[in-house]
Amino acid sequence: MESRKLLKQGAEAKLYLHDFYGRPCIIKERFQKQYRHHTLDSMLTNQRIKSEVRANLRCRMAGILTPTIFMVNFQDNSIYMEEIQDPITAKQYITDMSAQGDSSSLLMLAEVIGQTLSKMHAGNIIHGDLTTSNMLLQGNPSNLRLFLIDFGLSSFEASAEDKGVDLYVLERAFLSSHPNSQELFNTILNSYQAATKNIKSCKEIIAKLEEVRMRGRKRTMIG
Amino acid sequence: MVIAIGFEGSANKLGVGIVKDGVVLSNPRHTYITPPGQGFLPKDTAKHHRDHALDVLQAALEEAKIKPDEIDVICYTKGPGMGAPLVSTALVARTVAQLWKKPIIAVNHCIGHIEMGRLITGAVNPTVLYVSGGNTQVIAYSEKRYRIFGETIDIAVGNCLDRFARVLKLSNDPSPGYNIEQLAKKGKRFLEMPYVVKGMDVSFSGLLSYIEEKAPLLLETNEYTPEDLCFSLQETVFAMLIEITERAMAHCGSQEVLIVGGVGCNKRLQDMMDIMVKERGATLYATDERFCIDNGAMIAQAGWEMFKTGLVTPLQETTCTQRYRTDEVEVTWRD
Amino acid sequence: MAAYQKVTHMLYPDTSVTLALFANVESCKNLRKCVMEGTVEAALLKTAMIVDSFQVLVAANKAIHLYHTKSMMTKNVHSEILYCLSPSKNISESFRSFGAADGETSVFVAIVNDAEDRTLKKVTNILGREPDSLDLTSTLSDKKLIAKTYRLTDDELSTFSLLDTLVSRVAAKEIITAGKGQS
Repeated sequence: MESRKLLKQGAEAKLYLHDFYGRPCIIKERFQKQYRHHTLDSMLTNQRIKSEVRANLRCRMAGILTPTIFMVNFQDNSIYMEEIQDPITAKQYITDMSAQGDSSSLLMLAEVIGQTLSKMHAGNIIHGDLTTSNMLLQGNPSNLRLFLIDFGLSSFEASAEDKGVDLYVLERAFLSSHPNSQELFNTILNSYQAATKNIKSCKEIIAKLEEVRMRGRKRTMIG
Repeated sequence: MVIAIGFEGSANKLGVGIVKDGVVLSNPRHTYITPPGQGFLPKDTAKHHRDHALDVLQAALEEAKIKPDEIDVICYTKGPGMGAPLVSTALVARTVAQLWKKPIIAVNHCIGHIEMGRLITGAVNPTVLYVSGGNTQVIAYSEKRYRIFGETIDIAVGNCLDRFARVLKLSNDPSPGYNIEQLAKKGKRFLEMPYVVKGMDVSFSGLLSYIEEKAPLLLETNEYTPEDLCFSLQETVFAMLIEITERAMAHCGSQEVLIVGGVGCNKRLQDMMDIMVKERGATLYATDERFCIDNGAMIAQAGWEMFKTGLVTPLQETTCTQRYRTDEVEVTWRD
Repeated sequence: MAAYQKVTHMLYPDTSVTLALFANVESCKNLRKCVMEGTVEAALLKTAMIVDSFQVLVAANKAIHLYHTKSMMTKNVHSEILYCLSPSKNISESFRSFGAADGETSVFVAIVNDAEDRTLKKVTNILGREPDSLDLTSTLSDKKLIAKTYRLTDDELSTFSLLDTLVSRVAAKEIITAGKGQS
């Protein structure tokens, strides 16, 4: 495996570029976290690989773009997957479009994000770590292809609470990555609501989102 | 030269500290300790603070060898915290401010911890893990605010530990968390328990109910010792905290970590954080129980920073609030 | 014999897999007999279930890895290729759905570690003809049957290429079929 090239060193995993029998491939190799008790560490690593693969596939079944999985190697805790060609993260895209003052492109992106997340939650998939860095974009502004990645913290839950928290996690990441973007995030929420067919459950999810927001603001913090 | 005196009483510790231009002159404290298995109630805690306010204030002045007229500003904890103890302590601060004819400043308790941590450790722009009985937050400074990047979405880590200590009927002296830490050192068998990280947030309530439910039987059957459970609980909750701290560091591109708050005294938490931080080539700053645990000097230090930028709180606005988020305060004293 | 493909495993450079398509044969009966008897060691795959040689490559890549890590579910690496291709956890059902039957007039052959192509030569002799271009693979596939067997969703089919949906399913088989509803 000398031919693999380190692309990125993250907090939990190293990403390598490689060729998988002629297809461009990314190897995501989770490494041991030395600070963690080894039993806990291997449990989490194993669980996250499985969660990642499972949610990736469930998303595909729901028609959400994710990288094709080529191989899972539990020996070295790695996932081999399709390398998305010429991607730009939603984070970078928002930064670029904001700098250019291109609000129509931003709105179109917000639409796509809202629709994608609605589809994902309709399939009871909880991403668990929604950020604009975990969304890869391809194509031109009017026809964006949005890939979801990094499902290590995902789970399968039907509850409004879990979906509300999922949106809350995105909101937090969104606002901390993109200053003064509350309006854009609201557009995502609107598009999420418009795309969600089950109106009752959608209302519950948004109510939970509100509740979780308030939990943070209203918590009495003693000591 | 500015001398500030700080009054802290947002929870079960009453502290008065005097700080003179970044030097802590005195920092006495009195802790309200309840019997094993019991938490502290607001009314009793407020009474404790009232009973000891004058003694602790006098000790602070004597130890610092400072006379009231040398003091430039009175600082007190506005919140967050428990209502009655906050109010009882603020009353003392307001009284001396009027008696000594000194300006008064209302301080956010969390910011007190951060500013004290920065002063003691010399950390310049750290990612802050603030962990105590009532707070679990990962904070970083940006654009005039201490912004919260991650936090608990339900109960605080210290609360989780305290409530588990009650299950084991551990002593509250000096603190439940300290006693868990001592037992954990002898723990060997690791019990898997719910580990919940969502983005940069954590959740402890599921874990707490899991262990509250399981512990009695596990202990009764001798499958696990109390030491094992303390050990497993610490390993799990601390790993969650380190994980979100690392995520926040990656997010902000930060190379410094500061741990503050009562739970921050825990050596195991510090050791785990140190391993993570070293792997990233970053630096860990931690303090000891003199400053990690609630104290008066931290309120004096934050108040001192605020006072130096020209802030004072009009007397009629020297109220208290149980809810007071870290990111509500405009940080006028940093660039 | 230029049409077949011989590929070295990415993790195990000593191990290779040979892929060959025989698009038009009289029957698979004799070849199957030889495999049963053990005189030919190969996986004989039902062409209707294969859309592209890459699909088989992904299954073989996995089977070889499981062989080297001693985690195979079946008795040898060739039967493991069949099992890896199948979405089912049931071994005999997997063989039924993905193994070539006696009466079939085409067969996709996968051979692990075929030194000097000896096995492929044997297969060629038994079938009495040379392998065809692997490009013909998709023309022999039964896409409806594939969609049904793998339980592909309409959303999935309208979003991805058929090959990529199958590749992900094959790679993730034991993860998606175990512990439903668990994270």
